[in-house]
Amino acid sequence: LPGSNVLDSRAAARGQVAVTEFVNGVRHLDAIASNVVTVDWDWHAQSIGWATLRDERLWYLGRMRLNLTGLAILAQMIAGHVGVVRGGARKVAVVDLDNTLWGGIVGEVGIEGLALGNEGVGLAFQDFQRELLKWHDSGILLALCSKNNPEDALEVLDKHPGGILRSEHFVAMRINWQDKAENLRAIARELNLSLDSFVFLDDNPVEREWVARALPEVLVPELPKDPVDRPSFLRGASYIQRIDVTSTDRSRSRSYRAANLRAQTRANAASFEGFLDSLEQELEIARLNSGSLARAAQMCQRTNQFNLTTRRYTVGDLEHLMADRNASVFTVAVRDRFEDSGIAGLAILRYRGDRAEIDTFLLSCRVLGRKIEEAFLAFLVESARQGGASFLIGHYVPTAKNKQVESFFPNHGFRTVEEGAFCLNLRAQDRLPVVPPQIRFKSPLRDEE
Amino acid sequence: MRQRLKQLMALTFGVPAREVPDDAAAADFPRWNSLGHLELMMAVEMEFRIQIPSDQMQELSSIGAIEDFVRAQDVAVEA
Repeated sequence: LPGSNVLDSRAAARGQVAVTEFVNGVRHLDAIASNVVTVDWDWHAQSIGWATLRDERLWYLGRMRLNLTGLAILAQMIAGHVGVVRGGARKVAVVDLDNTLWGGIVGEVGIEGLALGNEGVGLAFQDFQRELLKWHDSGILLALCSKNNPEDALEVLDKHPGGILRSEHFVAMRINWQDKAENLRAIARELNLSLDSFVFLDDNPVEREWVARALPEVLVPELPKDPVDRPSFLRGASYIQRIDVTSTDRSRSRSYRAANLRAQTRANAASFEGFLDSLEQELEIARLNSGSLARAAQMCQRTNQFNLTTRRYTVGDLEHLMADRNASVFTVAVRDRFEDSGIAGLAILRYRGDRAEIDTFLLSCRVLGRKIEEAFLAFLVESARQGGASFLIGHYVPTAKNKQVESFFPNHGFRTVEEGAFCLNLRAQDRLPVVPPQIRFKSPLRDEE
Repeated sequence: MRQRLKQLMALTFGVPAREVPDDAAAADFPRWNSLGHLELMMAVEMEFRIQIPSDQMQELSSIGAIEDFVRAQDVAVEA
């Protein structure tokens, strides 16, 4: 316990060094196995203050280290970690401008009159932007929704000397005088993400109430009234926590902006095929390995829309599948003219006798609508055939969000066996799915087995 | 007062309130063990907004003893 008659924190007699070493050892316990997650209680307990978490009577009479408050906070913390592992975190933060990203209303006081800088309340607004930049860097998408003149707002965003966030940090913007709930719906459509992954940050309680009522699935935190309390409010937000940040997280925002460029190209192209051709798409399919494990588990947890069976495999589950001789786990990485999307899809084949079953087939919504799903399926068909299967079985397990893939298998030549179960005869070679001509495979996969 | 205590015991030990006897004591509930006792003490403290010193805690092992203790505190306790 902290508090000692020896003041030098490095002195052996104080015991602090030993305690720190012990705690550090505990922190590294998650290295034992990839399905172990450490809850750094010590760190949180220190930030809350031990005094509020303990009751000496409970310690002496019952050997309980925590009082009821402490137990409740610990339980919350563990539940929070479980929630994060299960993929409950929000993905998009939609923020207001005036009096949220900076102090004052640009339309009234002009760019010079705004509070945003490294002094006083201006620093609180700047720190608020810094916190949002951290969110951005950890893979949260930022979007703007503000009632403003677009020219005024963009000028502040790109030119204000005290600004931390610039327009390049936002994947979508709705700067207009329309209903914010409607704007949020439009942003969700544009990003192809569902509103239950959205957080809405606005200083105005009326706007918050409006959005919360119109879109109950959007999380609308009650931003503190005083701007100086807001940076710490964002730091304490549990709804955007994640266990770790992958490289895909770091580049997520960039890839959504690439999607915007792609959409423009599409609008200018004469035909859909011509558009796909111009994308120069290249797929790299690989067997799951230790390097792709974390990303694969993350996709299993997070992918909702293009996910045929929605099996929420964890790192541990996938490790078992990797070792299973009757299963093949493939990841697909996607690259085109605009960006390298990294690993964006996962499929699992399980062999049973002369049948191969598609246990899992999922793609990140960022790569949909570009015939990548067709190419990936064609690859699986070929892989199952080479694996010696005569029939390929696919399943569709309906959820609230995966309606769009309901007919995926029948649309690609599978026969419906019963509701949600489909079969493809791999010996009828002329009717198997083929790789669309607009997509190339990088270095065809070689089976080492 | 006794009714409120019975409610607390019912909640703490997971039994219906009507099954808590008027002279309830530790022996009446399997879950009134040492841990259950501390839970009950915490519940009583929160309910009546009082602090029970550690030496008293061990002695309050019946509904009568708890009631006497709570009444002796300088707090407004409605019957």
